[in-house]
Amino acid sequence: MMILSNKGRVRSRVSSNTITVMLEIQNLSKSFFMRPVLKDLSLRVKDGEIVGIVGANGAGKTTLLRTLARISACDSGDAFLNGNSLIKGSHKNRENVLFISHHPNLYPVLTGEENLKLTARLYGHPKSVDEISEALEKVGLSRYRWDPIRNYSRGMLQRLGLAKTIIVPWKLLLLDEPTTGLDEDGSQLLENFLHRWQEEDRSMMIVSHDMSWLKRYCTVIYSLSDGVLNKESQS
Amino acid sequence: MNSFNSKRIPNIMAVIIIIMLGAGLKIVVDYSLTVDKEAGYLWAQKIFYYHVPSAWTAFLGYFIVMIAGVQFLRTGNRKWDQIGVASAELGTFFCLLILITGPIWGQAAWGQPWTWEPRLLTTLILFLLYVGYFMLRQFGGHYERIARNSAVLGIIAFLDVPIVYLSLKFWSADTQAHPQLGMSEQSSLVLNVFFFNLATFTLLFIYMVWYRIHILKLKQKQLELTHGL
Amino acid sequence: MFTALLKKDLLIELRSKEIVISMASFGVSVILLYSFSFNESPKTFSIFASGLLWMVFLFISVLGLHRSFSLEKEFDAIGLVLSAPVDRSLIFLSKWVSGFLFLLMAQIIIVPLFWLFLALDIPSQIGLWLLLFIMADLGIAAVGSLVAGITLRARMSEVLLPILLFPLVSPLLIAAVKSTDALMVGLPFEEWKVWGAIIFTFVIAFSVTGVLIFDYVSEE
Repeated sequence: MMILSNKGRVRSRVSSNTITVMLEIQNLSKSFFMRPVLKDLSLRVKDGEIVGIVGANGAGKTTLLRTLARISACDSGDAFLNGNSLIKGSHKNRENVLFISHHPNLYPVLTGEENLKLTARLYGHPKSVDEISEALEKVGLSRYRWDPIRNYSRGMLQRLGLAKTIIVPWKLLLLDEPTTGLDEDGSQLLENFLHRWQEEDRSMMIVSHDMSWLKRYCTVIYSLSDGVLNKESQS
Repeated sequence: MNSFNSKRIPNIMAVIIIIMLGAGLKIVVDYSLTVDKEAGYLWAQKIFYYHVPSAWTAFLGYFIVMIAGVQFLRTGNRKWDQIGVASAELGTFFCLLILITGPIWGQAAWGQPWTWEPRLLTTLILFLLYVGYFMLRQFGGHYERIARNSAVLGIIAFLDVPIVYLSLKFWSADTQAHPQLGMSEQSSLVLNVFFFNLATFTLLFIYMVWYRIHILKLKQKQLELTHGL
Repeated sequence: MFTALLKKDLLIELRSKEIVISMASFGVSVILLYSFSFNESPKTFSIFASGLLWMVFLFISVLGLHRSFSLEKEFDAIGLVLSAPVDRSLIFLSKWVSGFLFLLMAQIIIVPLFWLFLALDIPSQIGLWLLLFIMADLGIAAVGSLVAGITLRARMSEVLLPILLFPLVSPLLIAAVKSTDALMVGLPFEEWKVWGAIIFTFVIAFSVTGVLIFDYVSEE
């Protein structure tokens, strides 16, 4: 067991399984209207782990992910991805983190193709038209690639979100309520993706209100209530 | 938390300020010189002794808002937001004093309550900016975002002030020019009274800001208690 | 990365055509109202012309800026740019430049009509005119983008934006009006260079401030 040097980075324990801590959340706090939604929250996500966060509506699960994605500001605390600060550090540290929300986070006037092209560009990995076509094909949206996404249905928008996961080379995926709004085909698609990511040992944080659904994919599940995390189950 | 009125230093300050205000009033009314030679030494011009100190105090207030804004953005410590809000409120209060005493002086001295004079106009624009500041605090959403955004606004507003003043100075040179008082030309009798009042107002400002921050802290404590922290 | 963001803003406008057309048509209708309400001879009118013109530009800027930033809120599109590894000051820069371009395009439509409706003389020194408009537009767009960023997530943002913007932009307004006056009577630049300097200072001050500070206002 070795302790790697700690130059302001996260100290990780290298065991015989060589599991390293990928994401370390340290003392994250956030309040809305003086009501604390995240209270001094700390969490470690190991490499290859799929962490599930369950909780009631308004408990702060979405806020947690949005704060990690730096869409919402936090009041104090920080999060480190492989030792690099996601919140207080440079914007470059976010290049391996992808956040998929139940909001599309895309431009309604632009087409599916244009939106994916922009996403790839913003993440520093511009993709060719062919690569984008391939991604759209995989999520079953090829027919609609030239439609502005404001014409997309809810399920189509969710699938476009999944297409983002294909074109962005992410190391950590933050999924916010991925099951809402999906039709049967979409649900199947999501399941396929999740199974594949499980096999590939990808690291993810999934937020959902559905504990039983989370149990199928997550290696560890926490519940969030009153701003505090409690471990619910571990597989 | 102790009541503000039971703390020692504020009480001493309050006593000193009351004495200074009273003494200042007596001095200004009975002993001080009137300032404006050209307008004929009217008694009402003595409001100058309150008008200009109000201006300096208001600008001090707004300067503190900017500093508090920078510090809040740097540290995220809520106390800087409290200092910023309190200073903005009191700065605006003194701004209002300027806008009231100015026309009184103008009416007495030149027969016109409102003049398109750069300093008065800058004050009006500053006043409007801070009305906007308070509107932003009102409508800006949750407290934490309000604090950040008003810090930024406080910084921008103060950066704008010199540009506003400069542009108004050149602009009013084309329009009617008013007799301006050169501070360095005044006799020491005038200056002494002026600085005495300036000191009084500054102390008053500090006292009021301190009191206001105390109240803001109490409010926050109350909110924290209702959320069971 | 900046070009990607700017292209995005311009592409959206090209597709939807919302901003420039609404700015231009609102501007033209205001000018029509001017010509009805002021029943003066063209000679008298030319005294007020520059002031009225720049007021129109301020009004339409509010419209354009508000719309440009509101577009980011639909579908929470701004979330894409915020969560991506993008320097936040680039968001300000792209909004600044696109806002400037939209204003300029609306002005190209409005200014000739203004001259026509109010029967004013055509000025000389076109080069300086252009430079003045470009610099003043950059100034309005800089401070406007910053204020729009601040009010983006607030309630009543369409009211809050002008309330905050107008006092802030007043020195620019004065300088632009004075410069336009000078250009209309054909004064050489030497005589009104102080106004040019003020405009220039304004542009530098607020663009630099915007770049440095936009990160703090962009988050929820």
